[in-house]
Order: sequence, then structure tokens, then C-alpha cells
Amino acid sequence: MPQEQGAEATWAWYALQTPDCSPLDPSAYPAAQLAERTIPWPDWACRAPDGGVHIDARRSRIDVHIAKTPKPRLQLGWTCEFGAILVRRDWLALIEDLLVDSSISVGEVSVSGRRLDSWATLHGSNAPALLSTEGWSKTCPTCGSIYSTLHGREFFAARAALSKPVIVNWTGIFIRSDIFEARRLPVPRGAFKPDWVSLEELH
Amino acid sequence: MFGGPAPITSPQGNVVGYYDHDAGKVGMQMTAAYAQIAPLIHPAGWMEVVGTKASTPLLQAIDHGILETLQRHHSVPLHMGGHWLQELAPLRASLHNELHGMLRTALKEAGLPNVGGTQGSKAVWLRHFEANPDSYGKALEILQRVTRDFDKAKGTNVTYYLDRELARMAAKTQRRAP
Repeated sequence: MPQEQGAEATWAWYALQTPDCSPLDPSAYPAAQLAERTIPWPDWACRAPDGGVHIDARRSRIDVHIAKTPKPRLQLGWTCEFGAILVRRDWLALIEDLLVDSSISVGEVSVSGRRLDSWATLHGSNAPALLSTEGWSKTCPTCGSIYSTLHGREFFAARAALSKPVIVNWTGIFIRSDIFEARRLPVPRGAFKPDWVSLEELH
Repeated sequence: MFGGPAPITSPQGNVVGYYDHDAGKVGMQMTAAYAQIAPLIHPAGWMEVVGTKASTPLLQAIDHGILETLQRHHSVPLHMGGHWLQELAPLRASLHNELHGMLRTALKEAGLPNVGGTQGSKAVWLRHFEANPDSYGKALEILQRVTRDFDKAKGTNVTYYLDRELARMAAKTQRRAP
């Protein structure tokens, strides 16, 4: 853990590594156009005025209908459209007691109309965005979702992140460093080995 | 020795790439050496073990030697929708690294994500394309331009593989259309 930051302002970042995503079930959602593609359009999706689409940042719980079960070897996955985070319940059980913050919600995953008991979605509403020293970001004026391209060193700039035991945003799952170390959390299969991310003043 | 890279032309007479004689010669020499000794230790035939996971330390060492010299390049990166099993462009290891470095720099300058790692996984790229619908065309244009410039400067023919793979992807998309 970086020495210059206290435990309340440093997190271990589990980013999605697996290229295997689960497509949303097109029969479960209305269709929408994105550039030249037709994509499923769940009620938790938002379209910015520039045409970009993303998960509505104001939404809490997200339930998803996917067309294909995630690969059994994975513990962390994502939906091919919108990048909703999928977590296998056996790994989620290791951190579920930390989700005391009402901004993080666990949702259901269904395949062909049947609930998949072994998987869940994890979503943080209005979650602090991960920014970077050489990247750029933009905010959706409709829902407040922050999109950032990451280059250079990553950091959180929102004071709201301070002391949070868990942060979930589209870049992954963040566990506060003291908890991460005390629990010796394993890396979920499908995630990168975690990096440290700190709360810093905006450059 | 061969007087520099030789252009490769299509049946219509257009230059579609360049052949690197030096890389080709090194590859042929190593393959020939491999062919001479492989039957002694792999009776089933050496062709069957080229490109597969070799079973003995000696074969592995030879395989690694060949692959170090001539690596296989995905001309359409996986994060841009390229298929893992696409036709791969042979490139010397140093040129392969150089091409990826040029692509990484050009994509970053255009405001696109990193390539590989936590900042540039497939999930990151798909999310970027969704959040910025015009960016796929931009990324494709950069990929074609950088590959073309690289071929011209280095005497390689990656563009030939890129064009073929993009045509294959376009045909697949058309077949899927209602």
C-alpha cells in the first residue's frame, strides 16, 4: 500500500480482465440503434445528447437478462452491452457484509427467463469516477454518469469516496486497503491482480 | 542483400504490401534447420508440431526460437472486434513491438484508450465505443493509417492482412443483417 495515503483514502482496484462478456438477451428488451448497430435497450440505460450510451448513473439496483451463462471458470464478468458488472455469488459473499452503503446494489441475473442463483450484478449509483493524470473525462448532462479514458496514474477526486469500504463503478470494484489487507481477499477469476488507487486533489 | 523491401502487387496491379526478404530468409533458415532435426525426435512429422505446443524441452526451445524471430500479429486488434483466430501477419519480434508502440501512441493522441492492461482491456474499449459512438470509425482509420505507414517504412505487408480481415468482418456483418 502507498505510504503517503491513509487507509481511509486508498483502495485495491479489481479491474475487469476477462474478454469474455455476456450479451444481453435481445428478446428481453426493446431494441435501439447505436451508430450502425442494433442493441438491446434496458430501462436502466441512458443516452447522452452526444449519442453515447451508458448505465443510468441514478439507477440503484440493476437486474439483467443475458443470452448466455457466464463461463463457469469466471468469478467476475460483464455484459457485452453497457458493461454491467457480474459477480459470482461465492466471491460476492466475501464482501457482501461491506455493502452497507445504500448506493451499492446487488441485482439478479437471468438466462432465458430463469434466475441464475450463482451470479449477481453489482452496481454503484452516482459512484465516484476513476480519473487519471493523462486521460480525459466527460459527464452525461442527463444522468450525471462520468465517462473517463485512463492514461497515466489513476486516482479518485471526489471527496465522497473518502472512507467508503467498497466503491463500484464501470471500471471495476474497489476495496478499502485496510479491509483488503485484513481479509486477504483473493483475486476473483476474471479480474486483474489489484492495483492501489488513492483519493487525490484534482490536478 | 536483396536490395530492400519488394512491393507485393494485387492482380489489378495495386501495391498491397511489401515483402521483407531478410525476415523471410531468417524464417526459412530456421524452419529448414528445424525440418532436418525434428523427424529424429518427433517421428509423426515436423509439420505437425510447428505452431503447436511442443512436447519436449528441445522442441520447445526450437519453437520459441522461431516464434521469437517471427511473431504473429493480429492485424485487427481483439479489442476492436478482431477475431482471435484471424489470419495472422508474421512479424519479427522487434518490428511487432514497434508497430504496437506506434499504434498505442496514435490512439492515445486521438483520445482513445490504452491498449491492454487495466486501462485498455476489451471491457474498457467496448465501453469507450458505446460512450463515444463516433470513436470506432476513428480507431479504425488510425489502425489503417498507422499500419500503412509502418509497412511503407519497414518493408512489411501487414496492410495486406488487415484489409483481408476487415473484408472478412464486413462480409460476416452483412450475412448477419436481416
